[in-house]
Amino acid sequence: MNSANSINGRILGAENYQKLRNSRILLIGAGGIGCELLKNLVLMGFGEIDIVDLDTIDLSNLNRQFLFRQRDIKQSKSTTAVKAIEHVSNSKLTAHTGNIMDVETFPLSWFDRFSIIFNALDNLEARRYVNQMAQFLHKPLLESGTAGFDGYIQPIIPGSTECFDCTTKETPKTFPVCTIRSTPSQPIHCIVWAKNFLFAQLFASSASTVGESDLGTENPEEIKRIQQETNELHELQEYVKSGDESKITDIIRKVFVQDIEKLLAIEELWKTREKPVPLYDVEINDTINTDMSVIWSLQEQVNAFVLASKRLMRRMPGEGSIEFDKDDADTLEFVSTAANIRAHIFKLPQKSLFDIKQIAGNIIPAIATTNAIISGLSALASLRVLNLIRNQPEAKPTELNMAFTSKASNISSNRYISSPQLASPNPKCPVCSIARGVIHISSKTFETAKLSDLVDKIRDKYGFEDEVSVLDKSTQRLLADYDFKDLLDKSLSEVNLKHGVILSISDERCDVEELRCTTEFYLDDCEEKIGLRLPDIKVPLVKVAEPKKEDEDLDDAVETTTSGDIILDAVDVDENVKKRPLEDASFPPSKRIAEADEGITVILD
Amino acid sequence: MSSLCLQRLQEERKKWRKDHPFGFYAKPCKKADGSMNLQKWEAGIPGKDGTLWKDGVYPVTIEYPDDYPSKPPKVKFPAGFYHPNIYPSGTVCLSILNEDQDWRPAITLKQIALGIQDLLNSPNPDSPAQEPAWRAFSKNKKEYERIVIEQAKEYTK
Repeated sequence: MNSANSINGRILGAENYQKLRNSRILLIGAGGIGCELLKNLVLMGFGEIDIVDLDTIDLSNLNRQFLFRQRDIKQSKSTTAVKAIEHVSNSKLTAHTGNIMDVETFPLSWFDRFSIIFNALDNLEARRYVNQMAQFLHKPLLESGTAGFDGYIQPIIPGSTECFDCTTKETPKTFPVCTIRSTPSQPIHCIVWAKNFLFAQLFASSASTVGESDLGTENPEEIKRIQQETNELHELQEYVKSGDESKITDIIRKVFVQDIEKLLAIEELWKTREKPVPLYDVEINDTINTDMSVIWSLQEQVNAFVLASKRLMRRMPGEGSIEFDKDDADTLEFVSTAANIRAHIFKLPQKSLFDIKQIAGNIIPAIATTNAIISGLSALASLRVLNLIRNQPEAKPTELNMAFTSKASNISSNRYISSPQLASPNPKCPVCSIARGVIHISSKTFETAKLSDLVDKIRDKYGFEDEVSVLDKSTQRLLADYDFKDLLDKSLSEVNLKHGVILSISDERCDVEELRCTTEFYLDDCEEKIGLRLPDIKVPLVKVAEPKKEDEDLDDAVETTTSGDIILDAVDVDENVKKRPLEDASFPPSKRIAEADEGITVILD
Repeated sequence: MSSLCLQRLQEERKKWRKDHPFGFYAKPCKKADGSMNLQKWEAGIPGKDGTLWKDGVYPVTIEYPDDYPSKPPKVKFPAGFYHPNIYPSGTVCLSILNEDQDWRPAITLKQIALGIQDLLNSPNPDSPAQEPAWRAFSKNKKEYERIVIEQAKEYTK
């Protein structure tokens, strides 16, 4: 590795290179971005790299997570990644298998040993958590994510630049069960039905049971119908297991005729919707289509449905149950043809097998190239964040750049990457606009101190008045406020406070011009002889924001109408209110399924 | 749950404390361990004076999802509550509580509570949510009025 060392040394300069060699850094995630990023960081020559991942390797990872091979399937991702790269590494590598949000394995103090944190995560919750840890410790964080051809990196310098929660993140949209089961209005609803309901009920082992809570309808007739339909499908699964291929026509009759007739009987459903037409007079013949990229005729769909069902039925005795896999042609054809036949019944557009493979399969394809580009940018950006670039004057945090693909940003169609300078923190951000500190508290103190002792100490030290609310943010529990004092006399352990909990204290006074800034405290361990130590932080007074004019207007705008619905703002009262739901076609189909299926937001890998 | 959700729920509690309509109450529920759950509230909606509903204060539960305020809370009366637009499970169907319709993150607890109070005496016969109250309301007003007044007695102020 000497050659690499000398090259890096020459690029960065001897002094900067030494700093790099002395840095210990944290990489969270050993997946698509994580593998790429680990390779980059190792080749750059960081002195010590810790990598955390809770997951094990799956077959579907291998196309892009290039540190893993087939023999590694079911092994820990972080450990395997380290083993795979050790032989070219001049860095001290440490693998951790665990959830980064586990406060016992990774307490706040553990994060403190690193000079920078790289996020290579795949979910919003962990991203939010690490963002908070970075805010507590004032550690630079390099956030990143990709989805298909899109991706972004965002350096976060706590206190100086926008944090991860300064902008609202899109939350996944899910489809109510009734839309999927009774009243589909988009092709996607039929695909979800075919994959998650019909296929799962007939062939998969873990057939889902439906609870009333998530039905999305309150129509008692419809609920009864949905539950009955589920039970009847269980009977169909017996047909499937029997291996009697003549029963396939019974399945078709049940699913595409009888169930639709039952739906039609609930007249209320069709007052504002077009009625479906059951699949009467179906014939099965030999016409088939093999072109994946065109939409097949109804006859071809039905024939292919029968053939796929036969093949799946023949496999059942040997396999016991079959899970949907986009690369398993039988399962894909079954789901695709069933979805299209249902779309035909409900007069919705049909899709090609290829389109359905994309939608029902891997949702948004994870693309190795995007991961490589984003990881490269992340690694390079870290040099600027850590100020290790030769002959480059130290940058102010807001002179640093983020980067995202133009498609993700919707800003430009003629360039792939935009790289604006970082924004200042959002003054209303619920995460970074508040004060923070670490309370050191010994295990014994949890037993001996009462909640009121802790709250009084906090109030005295930081100048909070009498009226405060005390919230356990880790478990979202309100422990005390102006009208709720029952728990104050209990010990800290009695109210389930422990190490790793984040307490949030807010000033609840009304009718004052300035309030003490809301403050979050992380409860960290310390020696018994210290007992309890509050951090030396300043908690400023902040001006109470004037109520927005808009809010006042809204108060007046709420009115009931005889329609029984409350309508805000008379302008909205028109037919659109009824037409709008479910017609929103502004999202690309791939994204809609992503949201429906696995609760994945824009960011995948 | 996001920090935004918690922060907003604390604000809602504070706003309600500062300013809520006369005769209403609203308070987070207690959890088994004695702490309070800001995501689930109990509230009381008084019937408007001069209406069939005037003698009652009607209890509802309000549940806030993790992605509140992007998504609206769910409001429920006791199961079997007698009203043409309230489902047998007690769920209230209002456009301002529907993500696909008129829900907006800026809508406050006060606005929701007042909206529900309005709904009590202004049912919509065109969107029935339960059989008994709807049928009586459209076909037998006397019977409807009798049961509403009867029900008010169960929930006297």
